[in-house]
Amino acid sequence: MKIKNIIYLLNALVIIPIYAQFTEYDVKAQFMERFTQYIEWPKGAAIYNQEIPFRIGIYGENNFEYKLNEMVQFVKIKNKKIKYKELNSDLLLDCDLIFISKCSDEELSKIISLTKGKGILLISDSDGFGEKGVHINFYKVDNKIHFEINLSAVKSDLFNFSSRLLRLARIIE
Amino acid sequence: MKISRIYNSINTICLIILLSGLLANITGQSKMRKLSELSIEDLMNLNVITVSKSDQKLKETPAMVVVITSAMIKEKGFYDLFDVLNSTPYFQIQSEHGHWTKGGIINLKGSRSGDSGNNKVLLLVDGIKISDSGGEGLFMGLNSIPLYSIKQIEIVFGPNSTLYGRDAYAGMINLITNNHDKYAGYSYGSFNTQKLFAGGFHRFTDDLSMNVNFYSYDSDEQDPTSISTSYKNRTVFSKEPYTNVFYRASKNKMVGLDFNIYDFSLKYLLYDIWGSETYGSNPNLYATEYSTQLGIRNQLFDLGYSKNITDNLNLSLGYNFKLYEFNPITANLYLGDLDRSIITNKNDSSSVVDPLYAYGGRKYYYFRTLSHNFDLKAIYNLTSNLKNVSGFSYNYIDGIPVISEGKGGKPITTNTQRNRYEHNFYTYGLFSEFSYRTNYDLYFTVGGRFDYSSNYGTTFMPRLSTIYNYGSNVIKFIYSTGYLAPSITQVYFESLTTFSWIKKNENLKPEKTSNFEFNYDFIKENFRISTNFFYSKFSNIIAESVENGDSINVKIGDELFYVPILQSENIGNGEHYGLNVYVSNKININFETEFNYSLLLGYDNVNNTRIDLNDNLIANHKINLGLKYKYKLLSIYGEAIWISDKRIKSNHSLTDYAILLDEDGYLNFNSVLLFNLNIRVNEIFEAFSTYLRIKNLFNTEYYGQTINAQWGSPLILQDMRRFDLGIELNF
Repeated sequence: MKIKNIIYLLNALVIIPIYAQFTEYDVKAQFMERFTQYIEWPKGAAIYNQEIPFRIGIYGENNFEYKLNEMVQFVKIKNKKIKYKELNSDLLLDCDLIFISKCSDEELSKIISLTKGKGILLISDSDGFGEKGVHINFYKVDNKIHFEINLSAVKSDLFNFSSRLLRLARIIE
Repeated sequence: MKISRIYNSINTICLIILLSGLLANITGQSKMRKLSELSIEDLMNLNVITVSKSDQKLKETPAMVVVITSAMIKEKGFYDLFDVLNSTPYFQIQSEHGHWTKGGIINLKGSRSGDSGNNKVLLLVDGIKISDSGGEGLFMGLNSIPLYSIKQIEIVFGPNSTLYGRDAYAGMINLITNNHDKYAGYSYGSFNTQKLFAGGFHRFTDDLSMNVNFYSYDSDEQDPTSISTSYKNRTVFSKEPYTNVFYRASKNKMVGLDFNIYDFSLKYLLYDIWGSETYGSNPNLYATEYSTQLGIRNQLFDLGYSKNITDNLNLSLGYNFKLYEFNPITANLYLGDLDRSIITNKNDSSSVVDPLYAYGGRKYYYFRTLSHNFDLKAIYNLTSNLKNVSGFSYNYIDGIPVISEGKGGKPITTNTQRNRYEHNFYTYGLFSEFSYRTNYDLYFTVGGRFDYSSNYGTTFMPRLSTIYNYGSNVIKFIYSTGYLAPSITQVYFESLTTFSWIKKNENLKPEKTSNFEFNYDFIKENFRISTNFFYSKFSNIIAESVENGDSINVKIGDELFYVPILQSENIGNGEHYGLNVYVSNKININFETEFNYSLLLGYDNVNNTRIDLNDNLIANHKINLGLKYKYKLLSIYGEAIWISDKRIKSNHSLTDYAILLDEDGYLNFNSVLLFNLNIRVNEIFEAFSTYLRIKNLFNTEYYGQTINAQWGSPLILQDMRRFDLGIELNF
C-alpha cells in the first residue's frame, strides 16, 4: 500500500507543472527578466558574448531561491540561458546583472565603484540605494512593487533604457 | 483497521493529487506562465505577499532567534528536528534513544524535560501549535519529526508566553512548510533504515492552491537481537502477548496536506508512529528491562482565515482540532516478571518477596487528548512607526489519563476507559503588544497577556524589550515571562512503578519563569558574531516521580507491605544563567566555519536542597564546531560536538542499580566528543542530489539514558553510528 501511495505521489509530482506564488520576490524576479527586454547593455559588455549564459548575481540574502531556479530552467534572457549565483565581493565582475539584497553603505559604495563602466546592471530593493547609484531600485507602495531609476548612473554606465521603462519608473536625476 | 482506513484515505488523496495535476495540465493554469505573461504595468499592479526575511525577524523579534533554512538543513545533513537542535545553541541531548517514543528528548537552557516529554518547548508548524494541548510534549520524540518538507525553521529562545500562552516556556520552534517547489527522495541506512519522502506545491488558480507532503520511515534499528548478546540469549522472552521485537519509533509516517482557498487555509497533519517504551538499567542490554509496543497517532485539522482588511490592518482567525493518542498495543513486560515466584515463608528471612507480583505483567498508560483551539489575531499599524499585535485565544481540552493495568500481561485498556474524558479544562487568553520604532532604528516593545485557566485561575505575563539596530549591529534587552501548566501525566500520574492510580493531584501549580536577556549580533556578509547572556528565575518547578506522594499497603498472602507512591510535586524554585557565543566566518568561496559555545550555570532548589544544574543532568558546557567545504557540485559539512560531563543523584542506591553509581550515589555521564559528517553532491543534471551522512562518525557511546535517569537506565552502550545514503530529486 505504501509503495503504491508513493508511486501516486511521484506520478502527481511529475505531472503537475511547476508553479510559483506571487510572493514579493517572485514578482521582483519577473520584473528583472522584464527589465532586460527594455535595456540595451553598453557596447563591448560581456553580455554580447553568446558563449556565456546570462549571469545573475545575488549579493546578500537570497530570497529568490525557488523563482530563480525556475527561471534558470525555463526562461532565456537575451536569447541566452540564465545562470545565477550568490555572490561575495570577489565575484562581482562575473555578472551581467547584480541584485543587491542588503548591505552597508560601505559595501554598496564598493560594489558601485567596482562595477562602474563594466556593463553590469545593478538592481536593489533598499531605501535610498537608488540615490546612491544603483541603476534600478524597487520600492513598495500598498503591497505593490514599484521601481525607481537613477538616470545619471544609467547614462554614465552607458546603458540604454527604453522610454517605456523610464515612463513607468520614478526617476532620480 | 483504523490505520488501513487512514492509508486508504491517503490513497484517495494521492489520486486526487494525480487527477488535479492532470486537470491543471489540461487547463494550463500555470501560475508561472501567467506571471511571465504579465507586462511590467501588470506586474506593478500585483498585490504581493511580503516574504519574511530572516534577518528582519532577527532584527525585530524581542528574543534571541536562530533561523535555519532548507539549504542549511541539506548542507548539514539534518534529517529530523533532533539533529537540528543538537547543533543549536543552548539545546542539549537529554535522551537520544530512550524512554517511550518520546525518545529524542532535549532540554533547553537547563530546563529539563520530564515524563511529559519535550513539554518545555512549544512546537509549531506554520504558526499552528502542534505540541499536545494537555502538556504531554508531543507524545513523541523530536527524532520523529522529519524535515524534508520544511522550508525554514525559526527557533525563538526564552519564554514567549506573552504571545503564545501557557506552552511557550523555555523556547519555541516554528517549522515553516515548503510552499514552492516539489521534491521526492529515498535513503537507505544503518539497520535497514529506509526513508521515502515526496511533496509539492501546486497552484490551480490565483485563489486556489494545494501543498502535499509525505514521509515514511521504516527501520529495524530497534530490533535488539542483532545488538545485544544478552538479549539474544534471553530465556524469558517471549510469551504472548508480549512482542518479540522491540520497536521504538521504528515505523513513522507523516502526511501533511494544505489547501489555500481565497483567504482561507485548510491544513491536515498526521504523525503516525509505531514504537515502544524501553526502560531499564542493565548496561549490557540495549533492550533494557522492559518494553511495550505502542502506537502514537497525532492528528491536526486547522482552518484559518487571514485578510488584509485595510492597508494597515491584518486580521487572522483560526480554529483547530487536535486528536492525539498514545496507545499501548501490548502490556509492559519486565524481564524479571516471568522469573518471579512468591516465597512467603516467614521463617525464611532470606526470602525476598516482591509485593507487586500480584499484578503480574505490568501496567501501561493510555493517553488521549482532544482539543479545540480558537485564535483571533489582529496586526495593526497605527502609524508608520507604531504597530500593535493583539489577540484572543481559547482552548478546550478533553483528556484521558487512563492508566491501564496489564494484569497477567494483558493490556486491559477497555473501550470504556478510552472514552472516559476526565481531565477536562479550558484556558482563554487575551494579549496585546505594542512595538514602536523610532527614526533611529530603535524599537521598543511592551506587551502583556492575561490567561484564565479553569484549573489554575488567572495569570499575567508581561514582556518588555528594547532593540537597537545600528549598521551591522543588533542589540537587544529583553524581559519576558512564561508559565507552564502541569501536564496530564503530572496531574494524575501516581505510580508504584508497577501500577498507577487515576487520582488528581489537587495541589499542583503551574511552573513560572521570568527571564532577562541581553543579545548582541554583528552581521556582515561573510562574518557574523552573536552573543547572548541570560538570567532566568523559576518558581513552582515540577518534578515528576517524586517519592513523597501517598502510600498504600499491599497485601500478598498474609503479608501486608507498605509501598510509597511516586507523584509529581512542585518542588521548589531555581535560577539559571549562562551565555552563548556564536561565530560564523566565510573564509573564501569554498570554506566556511561555524563555532558555538554555550555555558549553563545555576541551580534548582528541590525541597529546600540546592542542586546545581550539573548535578541535575545538565552539562555546563557545549561546543559545536562546524566546517563547510563547497566546490562546484560538492558540499561537505563536518561538525564536532563536545558536551561536558553531568550527573544526577539516583534513587536506586539500595537496589541492583547501585552498581552503576559512584560512592555518593550519583549516576555519572562523562563528557563526550561527537563527530557528524555529511557529503553531498548537489543538482546533478540540475535536478538530482545525492548524499552520504555519517552520524557519530567515531562511534562514541553517549546519552542513551532515559528522561528520568534517576530511576534507572543511565547509559545504553549501543552502536550509535548511523550511515545514511540518499538521493533527492528537486523539481
